[in-house]
Amino acid sequence: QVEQVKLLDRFSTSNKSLTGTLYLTATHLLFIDSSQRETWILHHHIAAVEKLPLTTSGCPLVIQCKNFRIVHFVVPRERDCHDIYNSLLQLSRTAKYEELYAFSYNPKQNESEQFKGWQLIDLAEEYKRMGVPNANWQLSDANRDYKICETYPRELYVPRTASKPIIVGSSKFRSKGRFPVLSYYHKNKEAAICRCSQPLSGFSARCLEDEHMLQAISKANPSNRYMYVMDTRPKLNAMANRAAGKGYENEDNYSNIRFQFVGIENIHVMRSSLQKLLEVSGTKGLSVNDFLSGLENSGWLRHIKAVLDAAVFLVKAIAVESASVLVHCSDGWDRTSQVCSLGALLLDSYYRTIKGFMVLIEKDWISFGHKFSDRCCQLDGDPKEISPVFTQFLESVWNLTEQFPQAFEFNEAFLLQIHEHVHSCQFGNFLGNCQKEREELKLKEKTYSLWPFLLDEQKIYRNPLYNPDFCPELTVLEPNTVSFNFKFWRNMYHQFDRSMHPRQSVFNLVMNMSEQNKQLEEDIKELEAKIKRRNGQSDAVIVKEHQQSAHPVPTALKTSPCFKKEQPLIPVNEAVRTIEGSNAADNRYSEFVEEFSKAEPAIVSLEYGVARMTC
Amino acid sequence: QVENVKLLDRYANRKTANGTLYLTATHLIYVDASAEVRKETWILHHHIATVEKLPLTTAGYPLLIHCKNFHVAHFVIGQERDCHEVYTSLLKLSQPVKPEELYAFSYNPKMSKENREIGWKLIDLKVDYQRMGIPNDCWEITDVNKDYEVCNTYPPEIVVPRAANKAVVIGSSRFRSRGRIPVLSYLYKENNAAICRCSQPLSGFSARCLEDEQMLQAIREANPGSPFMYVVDTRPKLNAMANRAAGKGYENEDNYDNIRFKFIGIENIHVMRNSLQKLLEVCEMKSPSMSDFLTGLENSGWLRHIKAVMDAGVFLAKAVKDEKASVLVHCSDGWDRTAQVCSLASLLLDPFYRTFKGFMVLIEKEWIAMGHKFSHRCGHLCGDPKEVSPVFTQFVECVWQLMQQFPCTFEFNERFLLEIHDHVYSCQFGNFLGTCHKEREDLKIFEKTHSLWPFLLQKKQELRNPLYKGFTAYKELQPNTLPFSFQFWCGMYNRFDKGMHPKQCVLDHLLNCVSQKVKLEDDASELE
Repeated sequence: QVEQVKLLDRFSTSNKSLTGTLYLTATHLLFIDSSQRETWILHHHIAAVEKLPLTTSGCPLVIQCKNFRIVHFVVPRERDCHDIYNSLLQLSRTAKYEELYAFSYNPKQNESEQFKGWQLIDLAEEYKRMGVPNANWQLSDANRDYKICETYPRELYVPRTASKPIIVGSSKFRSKGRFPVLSYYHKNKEAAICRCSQPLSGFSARCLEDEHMLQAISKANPSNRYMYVMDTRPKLNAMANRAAGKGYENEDNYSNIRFQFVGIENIHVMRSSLQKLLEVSGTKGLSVNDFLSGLENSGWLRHIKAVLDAAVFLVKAIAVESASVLVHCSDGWDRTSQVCSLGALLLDSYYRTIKGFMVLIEKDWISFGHKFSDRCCQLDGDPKEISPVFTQFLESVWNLTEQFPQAFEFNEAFLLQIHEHVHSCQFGNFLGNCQKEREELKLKEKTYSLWPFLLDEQKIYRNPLYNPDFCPELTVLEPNTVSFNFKFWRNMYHQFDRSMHPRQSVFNLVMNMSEQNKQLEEDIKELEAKIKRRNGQSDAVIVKEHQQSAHPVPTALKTSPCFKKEQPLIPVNEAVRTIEGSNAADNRYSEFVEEFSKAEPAIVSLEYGVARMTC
Repeated sequence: QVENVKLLDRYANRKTANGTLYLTATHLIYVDASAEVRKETWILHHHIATVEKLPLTTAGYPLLIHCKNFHVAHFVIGQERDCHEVYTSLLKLSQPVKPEELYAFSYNPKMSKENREIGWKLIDLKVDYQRMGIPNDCWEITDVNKDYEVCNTYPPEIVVPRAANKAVVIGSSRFRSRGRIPVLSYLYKENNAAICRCSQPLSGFSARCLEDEQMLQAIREANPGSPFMYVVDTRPKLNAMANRAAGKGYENEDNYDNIRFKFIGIENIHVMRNSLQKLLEVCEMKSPSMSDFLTGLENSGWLRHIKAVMDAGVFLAKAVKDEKASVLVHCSDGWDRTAQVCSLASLLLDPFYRTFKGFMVLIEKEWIAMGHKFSHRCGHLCGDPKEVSPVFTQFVECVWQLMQQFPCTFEFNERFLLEIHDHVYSCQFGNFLGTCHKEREDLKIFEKTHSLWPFLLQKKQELRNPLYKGFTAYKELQPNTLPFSFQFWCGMYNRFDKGMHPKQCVLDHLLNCVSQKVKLEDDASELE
């Protein structure tokens, strides 16, 4: 406990600071200022602690967190500062899994609740929802004891025609044994997203079983003769891997594959890109030009665009060409997870719900062995293994929510909360690097699952604009990836800099409004029922009138109010006629009419159930 | 009328549409023949900024039209003769020489004479001065400029301190560029601090003028709450110094009592014009990479300029509210940067200006009445291209940036801003014609044309902000001007590229929600 500590605001121009007391608990660093406001910082969130040169007011201590919070304390006495510094260094670097917060965290749940929490997300159920197993795809027990691939889950779905020898052979030809397995199955198109790691092809090696495997995947899709193989790495990186006996598929050896490089950079590039981004966003007194050139130099948005572009490519292959796609990168647990999960998110509206998003993360990230522990540095380890791969995925999703504000059931706070807990180690979900490791740690008995806690709080994670009618099942989102559409995610990287945010939160307002509307609708129904009961049949006429005024409203509103209005001034001859351009005051207005009259039939007529909204 | 014309979409790779091009007296109309739904594109001749013939392609003769509202249309015409004819007639039509040729003089919305007069009386600046509490002990509305003798670019009625008599006013006017003396722009009622505006003094290297000094003293003394006043020169210091050589310049702190002089450094109209040009080049790139876009945005400097204007507005608002000091603002002639800064500061200080009516008043007061040269800056008539500059566009963008930070404080939404911006260039209504009040009177604007404002008020329903919390919910705004807070305004500069926008329109949804709520409430009360 250290008193008289000052907390400086990162961006305020005046050197105002809060004075308060710093407490160090077993799990948190706690700062209470003079007005009793508390700032909690979890030790696991601390990425770096730094002592700055002594100033007149004391000894400054800068703490950088993994959730992009940066706090700047000034401790009056140097000895105190040094003590804090040392203990924080120790506490923030855990050597063993058992010391992580998740193992001591106790939310007062009994065992059955804990068990139920872990059952909440059931991947077998999820595959059933997709429609597997079916005539072409089956559950394979080849990896039941993690004998074939340690980093895959026990239950894997493969083409029915792929026999066990083929699986075993293929896995020997793939880096880390990560052979091609099903990630997402598109019911209507019968096309699949599969994932694997790079083949051990070197310059000329080939493997018959692996070729059979790919053929089996291709054959499991009766609607298309060829399949895509997507290597998400830049071509140069993939070629370099050949020298190490790895590499990529040779189109000549595999029948009917279309091979494609996508060019997402590797984890090291991403790590330094984020580093640069944080430097830019942390600079005080930045000019607009510095900010923009810094943003460009960091390349961060370029990488986000690359990831989304890859997902869009994948979605087109499935939705337009009905072709199956096999995705891999080097080991198939970073870029592959990003692309597969984003692709599924674009293809299937289920993943855009709160529950569905949890399923998606459990499936494509947790169960397929994205190395959360290494990438998020949960234990003291190799700093070169750290990379913001999952953060990029969340940012890509956020960019989609900006383009499709009505398509997602959850809001930004949900994404931020998940990001928070990926690093917090408070729940068992993200601990360890793969399922096998998680089982060995007995996470299901010793820790809690994050998802039930999020579901309990789902009210604050709901998107008030969500409109499920917009997205019937399997509606494909077609995001626009022109670079104008990518924005700096201020609420992520400046989440804790209060002064930086828009001064007014729209969220609550909209939330209230939609709630009030619901309430009113219910009231009306109730009132109508009452009137009906009281008046019997004599006043039936009046009731009818009310009904007419009350009920058509919601349906009509789902399209647009101006849709039905007449256009003034322009002599209308044709029944449907649309106008755009700079004509007059009145034509800006009819432009809206145009957009709606177009949007309506578009939803119905598009062959693939692709809803294109043009406004 | 030219048939078999193709319109290319800038971003989509879809095959191009085939259609017919019609040339009317006021519009260029393109009718798409291939689509099932009849689709028309109307382009007002006055909106056309440039017409360009591109080199022949296999498909035909391309014709590229840039509009002032950032619409870019790319036609391909089958025959060279047609293309050339369209080209020359558009060139002629888009650059009228005489003001009488403008659309506003022929536009006829079928409105009775009385209604037109009522329309012009909708915005009355006197009412706004009354709202600020003027005339009062310290300020009066004077008719000293009634025959435009003091300043021909000011309106006939101006507000000056009571302490400044006619001799002071006239003396001061001789010492100010184009006679634009210090007049009141906004009075902050709570503490009597005022925002005043003028043009640069003709000080040269050493000249001084007693009347002008008395004028500033009168302004300062009209606010007893503060012992000093600010004089803000919105130009970069270098520009102001250079002006001294031409016998103009800035106030010398030694000659005026208790003034605090400050440069703010907004660039001049030529820099702004080039900056916009660069920005538009970025917007027009077909598929820019992320780096291209960001570098282009940075090189254009556009957001830097927007930030500079915003910073100036914030400085003014702070001086008035927190320091309780009056502020005198000028630039060179006091009709470009001064208008931007004064109107922004008023907007930040007074919630009235964030309503429909208030915003109209603000534009009428700070821009139209005080002689922002709309006709020159927007290139309404064939004239000097060096006079064109997006000064008003910048103001509109600043308001939009504020809307992003304060989504609940404005009664109107983005479309209202776009609509106004369109009509500043469209010349369909009389409000923005000419360069000053005198010229508008000479043109008989008030008898021959219509006012824009009643037309906008009619469309209030779709132009309002569903999140607006009402007049009293927020008073002064304190925006954040860190660079993170400024965004590229896709809705303005890429407005006509349909593919570029968020695929779902939240605004419409919210508007619907609000009207639904109103209706439901009505129903509920009726049923009860």
